[in-house]
Amino acid sequence: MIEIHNLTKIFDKMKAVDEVSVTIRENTVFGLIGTNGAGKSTVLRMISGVLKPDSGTVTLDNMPVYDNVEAKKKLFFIADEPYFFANSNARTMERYYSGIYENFNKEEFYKYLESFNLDQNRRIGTFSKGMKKQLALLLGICAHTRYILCDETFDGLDPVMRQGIKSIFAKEMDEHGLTPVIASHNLRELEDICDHVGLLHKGGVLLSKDLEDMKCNLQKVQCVFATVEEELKALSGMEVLKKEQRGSLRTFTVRCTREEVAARFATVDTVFYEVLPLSLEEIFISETEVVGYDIKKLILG
Amino acid sequence: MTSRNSFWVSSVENHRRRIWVWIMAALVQVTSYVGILTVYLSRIRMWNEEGDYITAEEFRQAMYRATQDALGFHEDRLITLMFLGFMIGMQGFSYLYDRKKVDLYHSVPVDKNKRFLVIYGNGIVIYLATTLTSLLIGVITAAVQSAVNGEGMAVIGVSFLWNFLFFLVMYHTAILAVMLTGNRFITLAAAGTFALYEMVSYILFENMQEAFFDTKDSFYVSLKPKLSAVADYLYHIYEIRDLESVREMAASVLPFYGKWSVLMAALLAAAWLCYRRRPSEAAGKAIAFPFLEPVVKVAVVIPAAIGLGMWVYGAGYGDTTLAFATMIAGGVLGSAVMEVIYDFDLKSMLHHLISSGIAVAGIGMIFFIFKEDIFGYDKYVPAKDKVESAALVLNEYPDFWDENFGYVDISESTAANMHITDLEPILRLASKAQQEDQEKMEDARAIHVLYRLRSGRKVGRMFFVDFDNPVNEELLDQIIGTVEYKEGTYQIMTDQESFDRVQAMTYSNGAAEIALPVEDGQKIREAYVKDMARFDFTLARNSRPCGELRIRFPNWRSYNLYVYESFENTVAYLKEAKAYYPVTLDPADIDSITVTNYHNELEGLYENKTDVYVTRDAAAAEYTYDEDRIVSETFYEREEFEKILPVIYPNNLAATWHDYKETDSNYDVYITFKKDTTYPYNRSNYGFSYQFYTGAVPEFVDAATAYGD
Repeated sequence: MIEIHNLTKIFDKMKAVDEVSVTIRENTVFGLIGTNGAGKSTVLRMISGVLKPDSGTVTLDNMPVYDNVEAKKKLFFIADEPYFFANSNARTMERYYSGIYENFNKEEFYKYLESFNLDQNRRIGTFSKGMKKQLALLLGICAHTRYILCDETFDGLDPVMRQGIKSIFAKEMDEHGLTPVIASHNLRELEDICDHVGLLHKGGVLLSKDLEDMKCNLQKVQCVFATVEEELKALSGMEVLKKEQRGSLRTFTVRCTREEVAARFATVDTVFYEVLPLSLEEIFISETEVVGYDIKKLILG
Repeated sequence: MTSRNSFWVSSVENHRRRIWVWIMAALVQVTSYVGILTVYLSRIRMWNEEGDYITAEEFRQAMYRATQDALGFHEDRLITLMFLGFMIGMQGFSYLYDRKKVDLYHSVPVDKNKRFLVIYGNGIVIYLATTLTSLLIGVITAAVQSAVNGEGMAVIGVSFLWNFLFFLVMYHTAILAVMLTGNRFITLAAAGTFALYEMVSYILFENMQEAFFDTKDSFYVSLKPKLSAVADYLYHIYEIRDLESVREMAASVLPFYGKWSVLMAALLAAAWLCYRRRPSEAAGKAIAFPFLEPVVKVAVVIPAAIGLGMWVYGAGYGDTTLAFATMIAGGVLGSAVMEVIYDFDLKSMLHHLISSGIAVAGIGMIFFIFKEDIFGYDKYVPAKDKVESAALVLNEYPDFWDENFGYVDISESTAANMHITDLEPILRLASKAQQEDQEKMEDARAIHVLYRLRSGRKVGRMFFVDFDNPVNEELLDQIIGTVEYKEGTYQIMTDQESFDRVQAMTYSNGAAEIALPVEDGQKIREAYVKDMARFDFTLARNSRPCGELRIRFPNWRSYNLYVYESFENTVAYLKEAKAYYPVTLDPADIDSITVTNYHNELEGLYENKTDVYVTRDAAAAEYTYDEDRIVSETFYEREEFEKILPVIYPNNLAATWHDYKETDSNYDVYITFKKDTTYPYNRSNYGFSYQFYTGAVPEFVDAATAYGD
């Protein structure tokens, strides 16, 4: 488990990260969302031990990370622009990382290279940006660390590759208990990957929740009530986050479980009602609007 | 670290990424050793073919020496070692400049200390491997040409350690610079600053002393950097290289081994400490530790602005106002430039005005201290009870040599051997000099004094003394009359051994030159030393030498000893050896006398006209060239000779302290001897130069050389 407590980092008198506290549980995919400059990279660089926090703590399985080799053995950090040695190829990088990470699986690495159509002898300098990110991810996956920290690594990957990486993550989570932490400025990039999401804004955490929890506690209901009285009866006592009306068709976003919706609507007279799945975007819009932020401006642009 | 990630594996990985450093280091070292050796040996062979070496042994020794010089102590290596130290140190830790690299290296599970050791150790391996390989190739090359012997190998060994330690100092300096900065250009500037700061500061300090203090003297005591390895290398490489034996070389370099070891250890410790504390976010910034920014600014701007001001002072013929204005402007501009460098932003030039103000105020204060001589440098005359002894050089510079006939500078020799304890006359002269205006002195001569204080400190000063002043004459008599002065100034007084190895000996009265038997060396020395007992300032000032003994020793060392008529022992020997000839020549031996009148009395007129010539019209100048006013006349008659010869004196016997006003510099007298005369004049000379005594120019000479007719 990665525990971040009151983490603060100041660059040139500017707070890049301001008292951030987040817990990242093992075997989940943690998404760190935020606009450019929100502090995602800084948080990841502090988790990976690159930067020393000005205040607050980062512990990885109860070990401080900064300047701690034992803690660093458990993580692999992929920076937003991963560095590869000059004139190197995939083999060179494999040789370097396999010398450092004791569980690095060379066979698996070359197998993945083949699957992803990455030439092991081609100079990395000639790779596209996406190919470099794939290579960095494969190196990270094959290092078989418990945590893999990806800074904007998925941004720009094509859907097929993302799907491929997602499958590998799923496999690694199953087999080796991998915990990916993925930072992105784009909510849609993480939608189908993350279990838990932390939203960073101006160096602070706006919210940090399990997606399932959010999904379970937020319901989108479409219905046509028989009468206005029935509508009032159905909604009384429910926390309605959003309400839309198109003719007689009503769409509500309410904070409650699916079962609670079913129980309530069973008691009122409706012409039609249906509980619809919420997208990650809709969940975030609902959650952040509650605390006074316009998520569209923050993340969706 | 994992088991697979051993020190060795990391080291090999690191080397793989430093291939170009290997290549550069190898190129530099092969050029530095093998290249220089090849040039040296080829040159010796060429000289040998041209017949410069008479015997095979001479040639062999020259080849040995060439190898020793090329592969041993060589001055060019200062540059190559600085280059290698900076290049290897900077490249090794250059990942710290780049955020992408820092993200990789600082996130992987590699112990920070081990990473430092791997990179640091690999730098040394690169140096040692390329140097030893180059040396090996050099030694083999020399051996193939029979140009290396045991002594040479020993010198190569001693110099290898000297060079290695110097490399380490430069290497550690570069590493410290990397740790304190965030990009390679600033690092290079910082490494250069660290390496040269003390030396440059001392040079500036001396420069300011020389500019503003009248009594500043570097003759005896010059400020030498205490910590700068570059200064050590620069100031000592030649003397070490020129030593005769490897034993002497080893003894000479030993103190530097100790000093540099301490220095490099201190630099490494500082670099290590900074490495441990350096924040990763410093990558790409100018200065890694923000609190150092104002300190660095002040420390760099002050000497830079003062240096600029002193340059303007020199170029502006001593204009202090201009120099001061330049220093202040340099301080303001320098502070702004430093801020721009820190932030890589022009808009930052006015940031941190307090530290800029401190820099400018510091510059002003330093200038004021020197300009106004706040600490009384020029007024310094030590209290008598605080001085143990003194040495001085009084406007004459005789030769000194060591037991191997190697050159010894007069300042070194007198500083080591002259210990005058009768200090009263020296201190009185020094005090008196402060009261007198040099401009108003009749015959101002410089005196260099070294005070050895009881505290152990040595203080050097220079001041001018009027030789025409009777009080000074008395004081100078007291000084020069001392045994300490004579023994410290004239090596003949104590150097008996050299006279067993006299190679040639002649006596000259200015025109005649008579060879003396070399086996009489000790005899002449004995006579001369006895006569020196009556030598003092009054004698040297008021009497003219009647001749000069020229004694040559091995290695082209020689004594030129003035002989006075009052030196009765020496004169007696010369007369006995039939070598004594009076200064006044016999008209019977003379073929002609040419007198040149320079008409210096027209000099003022000439100078005025020159101004006109330069600024207006060449035609307006009455005399456009010096030569225009020179008039020469040659005399051939015996009667003329009889009037001229008693009133002239040979130029080459003009003793240093003699009153120059006693001879007339307006005239040159040139004597040509008859070809058939038996007078033993030096046949290789065509003529001999003399001067008239002041006021003794015969009227007919004046008339014949008058200007205008």
